Amino acid sequence: MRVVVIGSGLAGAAAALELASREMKVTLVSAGVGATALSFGSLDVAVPSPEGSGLPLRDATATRLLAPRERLAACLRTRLRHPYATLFGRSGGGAAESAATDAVKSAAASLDRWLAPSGLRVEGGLDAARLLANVHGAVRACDFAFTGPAEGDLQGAAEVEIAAVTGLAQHDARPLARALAAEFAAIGLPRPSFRVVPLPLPAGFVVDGGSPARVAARTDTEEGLRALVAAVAARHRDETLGRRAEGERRLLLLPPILGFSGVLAKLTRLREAAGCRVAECLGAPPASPAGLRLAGALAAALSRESVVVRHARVRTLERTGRQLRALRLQSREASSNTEERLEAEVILLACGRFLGGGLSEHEGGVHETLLDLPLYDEAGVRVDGSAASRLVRASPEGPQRLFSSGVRTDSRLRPLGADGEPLFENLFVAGDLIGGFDPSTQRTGLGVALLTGLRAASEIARLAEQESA
Amino acid sequence: MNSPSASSPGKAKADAACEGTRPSGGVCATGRWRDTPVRRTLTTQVLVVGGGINGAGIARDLALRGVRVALVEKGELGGGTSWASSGMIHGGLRYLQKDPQVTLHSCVDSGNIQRIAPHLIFRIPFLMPVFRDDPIGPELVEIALEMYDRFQPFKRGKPHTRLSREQALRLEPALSPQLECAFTLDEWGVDAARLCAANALDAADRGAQVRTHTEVISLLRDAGRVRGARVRDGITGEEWEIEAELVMNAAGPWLPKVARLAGLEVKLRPGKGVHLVFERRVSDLAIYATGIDGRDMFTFPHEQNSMAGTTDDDFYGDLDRMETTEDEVAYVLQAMERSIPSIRRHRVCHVTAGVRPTLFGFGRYEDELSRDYQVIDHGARDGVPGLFTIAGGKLAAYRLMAEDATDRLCARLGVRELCRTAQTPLPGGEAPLDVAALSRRFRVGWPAALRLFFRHGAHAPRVLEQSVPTPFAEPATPVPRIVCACEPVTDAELVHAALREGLRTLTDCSLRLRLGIGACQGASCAAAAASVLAEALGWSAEQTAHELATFLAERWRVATPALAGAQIAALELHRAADVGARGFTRGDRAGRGSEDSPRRSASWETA
Repeated sequence: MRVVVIGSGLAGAAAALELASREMKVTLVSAGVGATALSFGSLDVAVPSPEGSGLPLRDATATRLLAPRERLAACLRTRLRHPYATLFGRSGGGAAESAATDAVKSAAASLDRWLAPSGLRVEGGLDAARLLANVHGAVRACDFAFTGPAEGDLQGAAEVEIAAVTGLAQHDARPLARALAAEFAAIGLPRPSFRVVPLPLPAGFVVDGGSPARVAARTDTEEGLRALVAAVAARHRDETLGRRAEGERRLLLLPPILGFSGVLAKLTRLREAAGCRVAECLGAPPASPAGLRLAGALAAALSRESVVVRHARVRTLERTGRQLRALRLQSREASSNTEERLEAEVILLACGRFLGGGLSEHEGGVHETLLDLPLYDEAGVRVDGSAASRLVRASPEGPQRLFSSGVRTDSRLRPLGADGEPLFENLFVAGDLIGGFDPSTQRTGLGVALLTGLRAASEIARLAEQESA
Repeated sequence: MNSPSASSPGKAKADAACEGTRPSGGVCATGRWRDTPVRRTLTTQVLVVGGGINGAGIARDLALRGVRVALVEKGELGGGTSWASSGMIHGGLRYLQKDPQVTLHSCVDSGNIQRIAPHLIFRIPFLMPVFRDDPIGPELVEIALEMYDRFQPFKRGKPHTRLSREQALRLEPALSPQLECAFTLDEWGVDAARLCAANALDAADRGAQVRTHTEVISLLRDAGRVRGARVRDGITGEEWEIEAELVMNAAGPWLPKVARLAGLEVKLRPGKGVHLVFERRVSDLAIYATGIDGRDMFTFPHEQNSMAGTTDDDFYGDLDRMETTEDEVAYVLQAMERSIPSIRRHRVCHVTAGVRPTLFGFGRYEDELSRDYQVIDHGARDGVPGLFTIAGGKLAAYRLMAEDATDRLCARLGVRELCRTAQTPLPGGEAPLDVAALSRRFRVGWPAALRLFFRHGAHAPRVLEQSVPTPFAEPATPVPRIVCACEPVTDAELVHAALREGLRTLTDCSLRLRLGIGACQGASCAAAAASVLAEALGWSAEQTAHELATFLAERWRVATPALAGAQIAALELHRAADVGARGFTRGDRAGRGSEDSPRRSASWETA
């Protein structure tokens, strides 16, 4: 069976990898990087947000922090149009909850298996949240995160040392420490002690006006990494005075500068030099090495699993009735301006929303780019064809219909028409392209990508079995 | 815990503020930010209301003549009409037919501004395509341009040239091939907000009291005479009084509101103008276009961006809540499309909207209204001595208008000093600067050095010199960090603005430094800039969160009216960077509830 996956973000890549592991032939078409490469180090399954429409941080009586498992359950119970509800049932009963929990566990394990050879692990679980700091000093109660930021749980630390890298732009240790202290006060937890420690790097290490990307790239060279390790070790030697906590109780929090590959090995060396836990801050959109690391590790996994990746833009999809037949591709290479036809028996659409190109605007209205599939917002109101400016408010506060809109699917992830029936027999959708939630308030973005990608893969596999039977 | 802020300069400043020595915000006499005692009641000779180009220009003129002056602005310097202008000190070819006086004034004064602030201006070559179905053919256009050529020498402008269709298309391939021929003419652009700031800062350097985010809430009266104003600080909420012999109402479109405080009516015909701002240059030339109703408009390069506009419609709404409508955006794009068919492929990253304080005129279309100005002495007109109003006018002629207004004020004060604003350079305009040397000396990239010179002129080294030490000042000569890459803006410039220019909010940085108004609209720089300012000004975490949210909300507000194409993806990213990355700390302007950073409050000595 010829399966074509459109989109190389986490949803598309996870689906392609899963299908490849079931020994199916998959072609993945990628027009470029999308939102996954702009992610910042956590894999949000059910992460709370301070917004009213976000998932809650605490339980109803506000006495304790919810465990991620409980938050996932709350999402199933209260967000009826969220993709999780589509995947695991809208009832929110114990069955949906345990199905979701099991799916999350096995999905995280699969992803971990695919990424581990690139030195990137998926850490975490649904039992307890990790409180991770982002680069601006906001605290995120994460369930899963990737190597680098994942080791930075602030809860277990008595003392957090915040590295001030002289000359590094977009990173100011002192305001960051103040912000973290305020966050703990707002969350209502006893806070660790925050200490700003200078981390002087050799002259010439920080260039280009302190560009964080350039500094991160430097730690990908052995020379650069050695300089960073030496700075951390020197700090460790000089700063024994005034230090109260040792080993696991102390955390050295670095800016997100650990480069684009091999983070696991880097952290091991840094831990040794620091004599304590070492982690990076989570990045913040739009720029973070973590997203590029993830994209890179996914690309490496696709190549290991022999998934054919075509770097091309899909111009159109050919259809006959309720069957899609083929894709017309335009190569991304400038030299060839020719269109090419790629036959497909099953297509998975996983090209995100506006950033990925799955949604776009033409003739004054918002549309799904390839098939003009109907789009629905969080409240279930159809929005395709509406002017984008009519779907946002004048202020960023409150619900923004434009950013909760996407395709509506059945539980098998087939896109639905206005009549509630699947539009095509051989089309599936995964990732952010599925609407019904705003990833900025309902912080479930990469979780949705991973879970829907894997579900789509198993639906496609099932379809293939039926055909061969 | 070890307070991370224990040794920050910000904290030291904040401590000083808590001791009750001065109000927060404002620029004191020397232009340096010092902790000078200021009384609850300030006594001065002239109080200027409004920190737009008129108010700032008048304050500087008065200060140069040795008059004691206080300037209050309810928002940021140049944040009203000046910011929403096209940022051109053009002569106004448009006004040649009906208001030749306006053209003359503008051209003559454009030359003066070039002399006193050469760093702040840039040449804008214009291209005027002529189409077959235009109501005015090439011959008539050329006659008008020949007339205009006579004004060009006043502003170092080049005479017009006539281009064939092929020549025009070679010069700008984006032009519509439908054109018949084209003309070139020459105009100048300026950073209007910076021009306002430069005037106000120079006034402060010469002894003026300049206070932003300070609104007049009532006028002080004494037997019918106006003798000052009661003002409120919009950030701290404090109120105080400024006693002055004369009050100059230079509040632009808000001036009827200020006049009403004295029970007076000053009629304007407010005209709303909208510009679209593109994330980058559409063309290095300004290109004329015609609206569906026949109005002249243009797309023009402005600093790092291109702008397109403008509209001119009667405005009856709330000046403090001005929204740009879809219709206005569509009207401008439609006009541009005739000259540049590909215009819709360019991304509009934000819009500006403002209201012209046009003089009242009845029974005429907006475009036909005079761009002339008026200085009103309410003593002579209404029997309310002590109050003056300046209304109407154009950015290009601000200096002349300020001179006229200041002459009137000085006559009343009995001051005989003559105006020196046409000769005395604005700060930074004194001498040229070797930008390459600046770039080498401070190890700051060429684009950053160039833009820094653009804003600060000869004072650029001072900006980089005095403010760099970041966390621990490890290296002997720290390298400025790029905070906003679009403009670019360095941390040094932010610290300079905060400590030496009296900058008070993060949002003000868009005007003063053009921070976050490029391609990313603050998504990648606002939080970093907030951190730098938090250090410089001693903001608590709550206040920093408030500043950041306010800044991003303002960018969102001005980005959403022109939402199309790639701009939607940009807004998706903006949302992820703002709402998606927020923590649980509630933003609070006053910074209550913080333990690590003292609240920066201002208490006043009682007079």
